Amino acid sequence: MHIIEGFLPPVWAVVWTVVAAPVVVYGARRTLALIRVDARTKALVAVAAAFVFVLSALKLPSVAGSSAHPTGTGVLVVLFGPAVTAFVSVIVLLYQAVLLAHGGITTLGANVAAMGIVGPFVGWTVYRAARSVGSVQQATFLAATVTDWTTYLVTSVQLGLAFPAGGDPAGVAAAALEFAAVFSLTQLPIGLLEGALAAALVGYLLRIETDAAARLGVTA
Amino acid sequence: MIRAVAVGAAVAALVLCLAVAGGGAVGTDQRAAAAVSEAAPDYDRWATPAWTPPGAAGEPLLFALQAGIGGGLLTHYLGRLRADPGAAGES
Repeated sequence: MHIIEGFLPPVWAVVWTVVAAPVVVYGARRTLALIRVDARTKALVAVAAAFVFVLSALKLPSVAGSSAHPTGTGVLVVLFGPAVTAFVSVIVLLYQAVLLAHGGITTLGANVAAMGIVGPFVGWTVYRAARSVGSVQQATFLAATVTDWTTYLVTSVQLGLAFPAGGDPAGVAAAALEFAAVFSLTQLPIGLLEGALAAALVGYLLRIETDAAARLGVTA
Repeated sequence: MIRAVAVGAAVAALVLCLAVAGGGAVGTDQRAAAAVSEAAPDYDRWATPAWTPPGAAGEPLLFALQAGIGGGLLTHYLGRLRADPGAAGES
């Protein structure tokens, strides 16, 4: 989902940075407050953040002949919500932008908005809805999968807004669909894999960690 | 701690193997950038990365490093939670 350095016009780079910055600052404050609660909460934050580090480093090929990365944000989303996810995402995206030339500094705001804010917010909403009808693992699978897919959909919309096929909303939608088509064949199965891995980790946390159960809405 | 380092190294090695095995596949990021160039051929790319990983192995190695750090931290903190949830921070 990385929009490559310089591939957003300056005005859109500024717009997405302005959108993302307050959420990242709020997320940083939330994260710092969480890790000061107690050692177990700190460990849970670290586990969920480390999961993002591992999964977003995976370069997975697909039958479409292209490759892409999972986002890895699903566990953070269901345990701590979108704001903390935004803060962790900016750390991962900065590492990849500075050291790997994946993404970029000028596109960091847009990439954080996709991977750290909108995707996680939609996934978090899905988790809360799914939790009322399914198990924690089922809801986590759905939330992590939807978070991944939404992240790439947001990237498509960002590119559609920047490079519309026409001057009207239909032109933006048409361009966004074109970009979504670029991502979809590769990302649809990766999203399902990401959902399965997130559900497995959350299931494991439920077995060993009572604080996770409380955060996930599981009553003892 | 030794276990966390060992798992981190194993995860890094696995990610490196995956990156090398899938090296021929073009990333969807690059495909999207190509789609931008096609949709807006006059677009002037106004920024480029200040630094790019050296050589063909640079990028896979740095991705492996990222995964290794994540794998090590994941193992370390899961170990703390598993050992004794009530005393996770006492060590």
